[in-house]
Amino acid sequence: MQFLRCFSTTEGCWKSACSFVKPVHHLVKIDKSKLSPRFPELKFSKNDIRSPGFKPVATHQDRVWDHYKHTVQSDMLLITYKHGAQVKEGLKKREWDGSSPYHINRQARKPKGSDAQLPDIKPIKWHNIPEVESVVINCYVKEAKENQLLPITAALQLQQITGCKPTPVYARNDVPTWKVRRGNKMGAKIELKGRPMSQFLATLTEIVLPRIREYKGISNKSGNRFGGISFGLTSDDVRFFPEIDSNQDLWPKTFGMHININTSAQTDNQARILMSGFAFPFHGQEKIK
Amino acid sequence: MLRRTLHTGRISKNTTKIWSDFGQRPESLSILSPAVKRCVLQGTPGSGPPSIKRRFNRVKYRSPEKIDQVFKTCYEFMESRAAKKYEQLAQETDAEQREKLATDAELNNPEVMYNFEFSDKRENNPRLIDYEQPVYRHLGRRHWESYGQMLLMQRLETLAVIPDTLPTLEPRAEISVRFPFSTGVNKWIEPGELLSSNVTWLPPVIKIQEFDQVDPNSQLYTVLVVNPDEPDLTSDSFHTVLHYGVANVKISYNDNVVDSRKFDSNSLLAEYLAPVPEKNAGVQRFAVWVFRQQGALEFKEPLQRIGFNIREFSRRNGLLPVGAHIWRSQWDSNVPAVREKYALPPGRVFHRVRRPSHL
Amino acid sequence: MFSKPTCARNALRQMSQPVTISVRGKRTKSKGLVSPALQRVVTQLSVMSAGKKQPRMLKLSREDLIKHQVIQRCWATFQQESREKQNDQMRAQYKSAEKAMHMLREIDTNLYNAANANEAGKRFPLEIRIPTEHPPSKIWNYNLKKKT
Repeated sequence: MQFLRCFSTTEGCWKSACSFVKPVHHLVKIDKSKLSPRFPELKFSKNDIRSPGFKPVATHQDRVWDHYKHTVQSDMLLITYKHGAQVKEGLKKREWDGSSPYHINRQARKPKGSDAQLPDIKPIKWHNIPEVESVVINCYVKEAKENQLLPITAALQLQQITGCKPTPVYARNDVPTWKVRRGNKMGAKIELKGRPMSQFLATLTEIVLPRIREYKGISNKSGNRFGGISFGLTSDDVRFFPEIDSNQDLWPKTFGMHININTSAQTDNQARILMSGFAFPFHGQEKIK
Repeated sequence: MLRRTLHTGRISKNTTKIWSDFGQRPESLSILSPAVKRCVLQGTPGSGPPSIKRRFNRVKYRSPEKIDQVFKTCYEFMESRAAKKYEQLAQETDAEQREKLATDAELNNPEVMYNFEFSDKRENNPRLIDYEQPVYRHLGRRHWESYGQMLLMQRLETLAVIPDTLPTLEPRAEISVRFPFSTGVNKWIEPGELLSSNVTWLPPVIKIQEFDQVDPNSQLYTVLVVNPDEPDLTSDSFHTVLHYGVANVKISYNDNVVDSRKFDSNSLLAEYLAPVPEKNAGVQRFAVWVFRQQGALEFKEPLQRIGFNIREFSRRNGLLPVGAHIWRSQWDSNVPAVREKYALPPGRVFHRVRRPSHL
Repeated sequence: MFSKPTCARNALRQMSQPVTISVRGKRTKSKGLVSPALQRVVTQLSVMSAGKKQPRMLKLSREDLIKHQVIQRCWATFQQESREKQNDQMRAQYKSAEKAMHMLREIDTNLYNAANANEAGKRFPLEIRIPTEHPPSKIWNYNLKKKT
């Protein structure tokens, strides 16, 4: 094939049969959406008031965040302080020793006593003090396999409680014994961050949890090992949320939900200390590492 | 919380009116219209904001509640921060740092923001947008990068101006091209536009907007317009033709249009040769290249137009390409008239269909 | 398409049947088709949907737009400054704790060990409250006794 540009030939004849990515000869990053003349108002960033997607964020004081900054954070630094602490290495994959020629390019062995690698645990310093990152509320309705309208009510319940828009949850697999079909809408979930999260945490600890009868607290056994704490609320507990409590007759049926609190703590113990700073009670024996 | 901090803070007490003392500040850092300036700084008058022209709309308009009071607090806050920047600026000696500090000190000034947002950035009025001020250079560069630079680079790449003329371009200056109004198209040309030969028969006006810190008194520029698509039948290929060449052009930040006032016949490398594409030769690209020179250039013998090697030329003279532009032309019914004006021979007519030899 | 006799027959049939004229605006479906449970879900869906709930876009005049931008930047600057201040404070606290522990180790090993004990099971007291903007109806509990 000839790569010189000829005057007598058309471009079509030196097109290759396969498509290939043409090289770029410059270093300027091009955002095509900015070049289009259509929808000029969509080119503003979301925090610009001229953008249709503008949403005012800092509309009120975030007292949970202030409480964290003023009280909890410095205490967390003191509680987790350990003099001369070193990085505690997590379980890692084990390399082969190379005694056999077949070891070359063979996948490394799984870590001892774990299927996956575990992250290193670093000492807590001023820049990695644990804080609450997000709260995920998950409402799975078992009865939804018979009544497809229930997930809608569950989603509305979540929206009423949190003030944010929930996303539907679908069944992922066919489970014939439970009559669950793949793709059926089975409930709703929300990830809360920022001010809605603070509002939800405050409501939970100040209004809902104290009103639950014989409530002992979050189990000390709960946790995902990496700083995530989960607990559940039954359908009766949910009735204590003021939004639902104030018009009971509109809510003949409420739904229980799972609440996962994701923190930037590296271990569950730290996460529990942090959560107790927001007045969450804990109960049971705690395994201390 | 904000109010509390501001009122107890020490800074607000001894604030010098750094943004409103126009004894030494250039005029371009202030809003030109007194009514608008009063509305921004002292609050909206009862008759409505003066920027709304129609009285009906002005009276109907409602400002967000308490915006003037909040703005006053925020203005004081930002002014105190700007005062700190000016204090640092007074002690700084490094030119780059000075530029950055001077930019930061004025970047949040509402008058600067207003001037830049609502006035013409390309044909700038130096009383509103003065590109000699670092802050306006910074804003201008950001505005250029958000659209013009990306558009130019996309067109240069898709039309293969890079690497057909020069291997690559690191854009530093904004280049705008327009043709004299008598040709009928009274606008700045978008890169890659297909222009009629009637439009392009007079030499173009080229605007070089610098955003970098350069010395306008000593910096010289070279402008070349080349066409890499002239058919060359002897080698069954194309060669590059130099259509326009100007060297040793001196521009300033605000007065930066390259026209006959800026250069004399000594610095004219090649007179403007109007694009006269031949029939069925296809669409031809006319690439404008702007270079920064290292010093004054001297040319003894005239440049060879046909077969002009722009890479060789820029390397030999130590030219740094800072910007480019492109327009395209093809044969149309006006071409014979343009040829007549320049006393050029009638162009060749190629066969309409060109096929590869092996088909 | 049709042969002539069939066309004529069709026309005759149409003429012989009574003509029904549909009246605009008259409800043809009976009202009670939607069950109350379904109606409730419909209401719930309309509560959740975003349609018609979005407020109209703000159109600010030029002056107000600039004022708004200055206010936003001021808030961002203020936030950034307070964040940095807090960060510096935390760093200083960490450094001083480190220094104190270092000194303590050289002075007294027992005290050092006590101070450096693992506090993994520690909790904030249950009485901790997130402060509110307004004081409670009962300002201070003078007879507070810790529950055991």
